[in-house]
Amino acid sequence: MTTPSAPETEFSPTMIPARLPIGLAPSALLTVVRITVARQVRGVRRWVLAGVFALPIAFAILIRQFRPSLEAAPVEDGLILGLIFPALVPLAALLLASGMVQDDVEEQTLTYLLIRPIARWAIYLAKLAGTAIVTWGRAAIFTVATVGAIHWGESGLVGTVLRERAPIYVAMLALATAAYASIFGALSLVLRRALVVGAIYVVVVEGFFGAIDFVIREATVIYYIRVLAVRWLGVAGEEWSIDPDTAVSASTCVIVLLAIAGWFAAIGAAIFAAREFRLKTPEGN
Amino acid sequence: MGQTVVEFRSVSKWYGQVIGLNNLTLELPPGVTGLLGPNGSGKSTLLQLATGQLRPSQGEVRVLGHRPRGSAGLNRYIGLCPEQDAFFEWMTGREFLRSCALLGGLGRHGAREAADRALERVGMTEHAGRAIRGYSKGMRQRIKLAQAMVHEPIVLFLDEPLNGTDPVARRELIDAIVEWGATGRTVLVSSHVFHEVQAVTRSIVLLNRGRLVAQGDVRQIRDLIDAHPHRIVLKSPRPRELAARLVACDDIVGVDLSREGGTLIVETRLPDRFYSRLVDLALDGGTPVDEVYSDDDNLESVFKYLVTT
Repeated sequence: MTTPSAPETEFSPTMIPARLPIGLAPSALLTVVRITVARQVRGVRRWVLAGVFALPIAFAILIRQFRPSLEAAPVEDGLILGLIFPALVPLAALLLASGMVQDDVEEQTLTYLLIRPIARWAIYLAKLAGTAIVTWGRAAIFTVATVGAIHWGESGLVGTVLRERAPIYVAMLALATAAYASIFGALSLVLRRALVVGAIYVVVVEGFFGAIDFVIREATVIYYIRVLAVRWLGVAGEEWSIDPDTAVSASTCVIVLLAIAGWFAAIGAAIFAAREFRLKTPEGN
Repeated sequence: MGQTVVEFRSVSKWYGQVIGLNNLTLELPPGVTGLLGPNGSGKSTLLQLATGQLRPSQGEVRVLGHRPRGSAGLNRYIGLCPEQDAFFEWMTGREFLRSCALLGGLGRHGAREAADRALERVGMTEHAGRAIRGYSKGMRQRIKLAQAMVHEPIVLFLDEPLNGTDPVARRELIDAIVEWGATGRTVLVSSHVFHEVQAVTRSIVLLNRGRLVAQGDVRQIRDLIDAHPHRIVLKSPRPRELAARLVACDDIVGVDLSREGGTLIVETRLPDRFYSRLVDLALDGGTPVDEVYSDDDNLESVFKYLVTT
């Protein structure tokens, strides 16, 4: 409806609906994931992580070269369950998750995400998903490569090792990276020195408390990963003081790990949604 | 009375001990409005409140009738060109705009078309396939403006969109903003340069130290501002030749060759005439101008003068 004195403009404020979109468009969320992945596979961290994850492969090759008589099974347990899972995976998750939001804040690109019709908590979860995917993808590639290097030349490499054991490792890595990325993502939102605190957490909580035979180890991620190794891979749990008869079931481990991931993701999302990111204001500068 | 699109009701924003905005009440109708104030006057805080990035410490902000903070869906109708020179540097211009369109809620096909349209609008189609990290300052400003427009918002907030651009880019960006405002949308352009704001609108809001100093027609304050010599900084690869050409102009009252290579500080009492001559100076006679911006201290002194008048 128009009148000669008040010509209708092409765009009128009343044109927008009273009920706004909820901000969960799949194309928008996938774009946040894609941007996060693209950022996480760039920069110095890419080379640091490649170097760190190449260590077990290098060890496997050296052991095969200089100690060919050594059996493959203990080498695999030592490198995969003794090095990659308790040390490299949490450190990789820490390195990537602690920069997941902070990088965008420091480079002042977070604005491009915050000014879009995407719910803030969903932005955080999409960034977390992108980070977990990159961490998991890297860990999975290098873990499978390590397993391949340990068993290289064996007749059962493709059948038993790569078709049966490697998928279990990859599944365990998915659970571990989801839990660690969620923990360190949330930590990075509340602490300025998240890298330092995260490294201390990895050493003290996951490394020390996770190894002692006491109830506190049930509050660590690595305990449930080890129980899964015992349940799914048939690894002897004596070294970790895990008795298969009394330890929790595999399904409990999966549920607990998913619950840890979900709980810390929810905390991180709530903090991110409430937080003011001052990119160009007196304090932001 | 026209409709109010953007409304601030007694809004204050504090950052600890620092006041960003101080009891600001403001209503903006459709059309282009200039937001003028020296650095630190609260322009960016105002824009971040209007786009929901910050929440007011006190008072209420409404855009299109909704509170921006916590209303993510409102961003479908809002565009922001931030001041910071920051991008996802690895992307090409086209990828960046497509990503922004997708983030804005458009589908894949729609995003592709919207990105091409936005590139065309800011004259960047030719350079769209290059990585942003290789863009000049002017190209970066154009792409930044394009991302704000890519999802065809009803309300557009532009934070210092002409900062650091060359005269030709400046002219083209001004045309794009004016054209956008002419469609009936609402545009709020912030700047610390009076003549930039004047080039895009006659309706201005003056901010200083977080307070609303004045709001109204540009003519009401321009005489006061023109009473002060205007200091303009130019960057050129041939500063001495440019200085020689400038001193011949009768409206120029001073030219200072900065110790910083390639920088000239020009004082003029007729900035309108100076800015209109600048494009010719840049294009003709072998004295290119890479960057133009107003000296901040100058505007601060003008504001002190206005506030005490």
